[in-house]
Amino acid sequence: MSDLESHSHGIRDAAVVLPFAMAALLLPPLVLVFARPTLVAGIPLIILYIYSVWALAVLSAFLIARHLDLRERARRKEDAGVLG
Amino acid sequence: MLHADFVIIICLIYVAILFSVAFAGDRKARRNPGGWLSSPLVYTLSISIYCTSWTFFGAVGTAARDGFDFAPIYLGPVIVFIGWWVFLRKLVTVGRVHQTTSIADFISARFGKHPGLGALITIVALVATAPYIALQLKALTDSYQVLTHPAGAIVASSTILKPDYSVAFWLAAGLCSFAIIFGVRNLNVNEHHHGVIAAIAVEAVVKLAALLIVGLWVVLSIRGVPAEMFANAPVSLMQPADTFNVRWITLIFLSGIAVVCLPRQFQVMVVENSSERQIRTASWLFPLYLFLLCLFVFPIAIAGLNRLPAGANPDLYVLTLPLQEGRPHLALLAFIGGFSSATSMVIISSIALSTMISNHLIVPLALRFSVIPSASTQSVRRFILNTRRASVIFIVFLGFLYYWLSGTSSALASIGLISFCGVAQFMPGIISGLFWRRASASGVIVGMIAGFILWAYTLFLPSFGGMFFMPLSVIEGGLLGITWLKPYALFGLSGLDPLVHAVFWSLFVNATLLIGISLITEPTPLARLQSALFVDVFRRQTESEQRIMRRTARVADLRQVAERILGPREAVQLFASGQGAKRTVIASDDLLSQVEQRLASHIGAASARSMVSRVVTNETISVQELKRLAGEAEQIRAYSEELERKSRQVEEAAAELASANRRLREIDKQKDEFLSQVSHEVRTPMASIRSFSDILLHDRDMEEARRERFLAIIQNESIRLTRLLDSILHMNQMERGETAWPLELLDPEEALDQALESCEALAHSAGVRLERGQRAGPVQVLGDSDKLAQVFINLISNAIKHNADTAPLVRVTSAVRDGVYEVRIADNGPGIPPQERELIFIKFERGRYAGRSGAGLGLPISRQIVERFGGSLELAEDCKVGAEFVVRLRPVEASRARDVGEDAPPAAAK
Repeated sequence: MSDLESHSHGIRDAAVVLPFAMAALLLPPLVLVFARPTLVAGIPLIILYIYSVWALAVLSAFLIARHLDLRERARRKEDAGVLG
Repeated sequence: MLHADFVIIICLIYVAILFSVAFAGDRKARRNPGGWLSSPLVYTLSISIYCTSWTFFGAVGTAARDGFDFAPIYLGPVIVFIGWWVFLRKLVTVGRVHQTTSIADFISARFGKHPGLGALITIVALVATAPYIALQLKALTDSYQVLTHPAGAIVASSTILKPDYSVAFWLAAGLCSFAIIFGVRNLNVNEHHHGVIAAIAVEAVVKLAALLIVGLWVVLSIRGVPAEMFANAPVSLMQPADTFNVRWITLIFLSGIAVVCLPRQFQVMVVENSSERQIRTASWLFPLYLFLLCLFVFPIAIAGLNRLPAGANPDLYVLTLPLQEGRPHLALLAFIGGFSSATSMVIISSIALSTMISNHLIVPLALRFSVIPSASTQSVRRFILNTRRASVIFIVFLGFLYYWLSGTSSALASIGLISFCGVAQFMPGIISGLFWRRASASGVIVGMIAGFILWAYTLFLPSFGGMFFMPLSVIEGGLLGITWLKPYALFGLSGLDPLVHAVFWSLFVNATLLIGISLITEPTPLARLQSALFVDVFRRQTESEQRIMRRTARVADLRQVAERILGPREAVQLFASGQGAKRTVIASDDLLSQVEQRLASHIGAASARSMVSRVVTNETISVQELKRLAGEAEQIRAYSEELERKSRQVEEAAAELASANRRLREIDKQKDEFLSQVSHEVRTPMASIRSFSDILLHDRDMEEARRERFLAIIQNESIRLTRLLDSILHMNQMERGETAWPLELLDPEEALDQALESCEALAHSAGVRLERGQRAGPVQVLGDSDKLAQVFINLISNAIKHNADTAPLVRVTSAVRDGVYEVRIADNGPGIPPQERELIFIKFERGRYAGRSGAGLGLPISRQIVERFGGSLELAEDCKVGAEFVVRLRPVEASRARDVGEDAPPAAAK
């Protein structure tokens, strides 16, 4: 139980940190590191960077939501078990 | 060019499909409200009304002109959604729990159901949204005109077309009818519009699909390497460092706020929400939707720059690019996508705003001036519905009027962001309402009015470029010629982008006033109650206000009010369930709150309160309860920590108590056994003394010799008795540590020799061979030589007495091992069963080993004596035959012996 709880604390912390992390990646000064006239495979670096951050954010949010989903389902099952 | 009739027919077919989807959705919702209509997917798709035609066409246009400048509009919402746990979760939960009907209802309910606040928010929202609706009409008209222009789309998009207002008018009329038919058909509980939401979800899929298909077609038709493509890209994309300035930060910030504060977003996100699961899925699905929508923005923009003539309007690349390449059907698809994004925005905006106008402007005014018809219960409902229908028409045609007045002005292009900044004025109220208990209604009102005025002065009015209300002289020279009142450089703050400048001043002043005034004003009791309900929504979902509010009203009056808004059927249900079988005249607090809550889900909290207040004859809010409520939440954290600590302590104490209890039971059992043993031991000699003395008393003529024998027995038995009582006394004294023998240095070997000599005779008579084994050399210990000899005698005599072997043997050895003096007394008798190993050292617990004679005090006393000397007495563990007792004593070194000899050793001083 305590293991489960500490794990779910970790998920919640991740859920809180995620938007701040993404904001930090997209705002100056970090974004300026990639705002250079460099082409990677013919595509400007900045395009690759911003779309990657975006995709990464979607993926992280998806993983967090799925974890919370599973957790809630497990909790419901537990509750149902207690009642039944 | 596409034929106008063809385009119109396609549009009509599309609209017919939307109508049937909305119709089916409404029907399905009536039968089964929890079905796929409430699924997270539909919910997420409905949120995508954030992407209007402005973003559908405009994103590519902005990308072609300014590179990444289009992205912050999407990145802000992405940050807000992936951070749903921090903010959206609370917002949506509060909205769901309190059955909020609109953003105005939400904020006014939080600040004491303040009717003025609701009205203010409605007006601000209306002013900020009308131009936005105009923008949609313009986008629709423009795209239609370009698509059907006789000279061809490319030429059309390169020239400034005279807007065709008749197209715009019919569009507006069509949108009104759709919104009225599906959005304002009924007074819904909670303002859920399942049919409209279903249609909006379809439109969301269509606009995404349209943009993706056009994008894929562009990517697949690329010829040559990417590097060549980017040769013609806008400078800001190839030299991107300048893009990420203050404007970039401000746009991300502003769009993050707008995705919450736009009335239509609030409508689909909070009002239409029915479970946390929806927002949890939307937290990643909506960012994904935006990602896909933006994926092909650059390819389309760059292809447009490369392939279309220089003068073509970048805002219409999505439409003109397929036409240029001879793909009219693709262009038509793109047009339908833009059509979808514009219509869905107008429909939801008009529904959300009409609810606000009717609940926060018209109903409160009608209540105040008593113009609500009271002829029948149906007429009130009809009145409210009609005001909403009229509001929808009013809003859409306000947008049309705005479009008509501003005409071809390029001011419309930036109106999206101007709207964002206008509705952003709600944000300080929402955030403080959700997280700050002290935030007060007056603070929010003053802050919002100031923010609204600053927004209008620094951004909205100047955007007309002197054509409306604010003359050019003011824009350039400041109000009344005062230079520090220049709209674009207020208080001398110049050099900023006008949008950044306006966002900063309006939100800064708004938030500052809100905080400052909240700190110096006291909220009303009702506001305090509402703040507790909102801020602590996760902690106190079950707490209802009836415990705090004490109101009285006549049931008949209350019923009349309920019937007027809810309709007779729902009212009867409500009163039947609330009242039970009892027929009372005065309504309970419970019923009153229930009625008010139900009314609020139809007409908003402020209006509901004002309606219920009219029939309430007496209202008090228990200050005591309120204080408790307010104080409670702050105390909860400290309290729960304290509780955790206490419960740990209690657990420890309980464990201690349990073990103490166990020990006590054991001791109690031992005591009982001890007493019964003592009685038994005392009874045997007493019985023989009594019987022999009886004989002596009655038989006077007894022979001398016999009398002597009897007297000897009596004497012996008395001595035995005395000895027994002495040893009990002795042991108890020792246990309580009352005996204080003088401890002296002695050689234990001497005591052992003495004991062996004493037992020699006993061994001989019992036929036991007493074997003297290896002996330790001279050694010194602290103790009492007589007591030590007594211990050895006790052990040796026990070994002799209880040896039942055919060739009985007792072997005594001693040694100094690892610095410890050790005496071992072993026998080859029956031994001691493992379960009795410790029992034999307990008073009167003789076990089988010691059970044949004696009082069972020898071993316990011996052990106590040895322990008093700082040593130990125990049974050796590994004897194969018989039993072996080991006495261990710690020798005193010769050098220390002198010092220690005077005092008692530590072990003795317990």
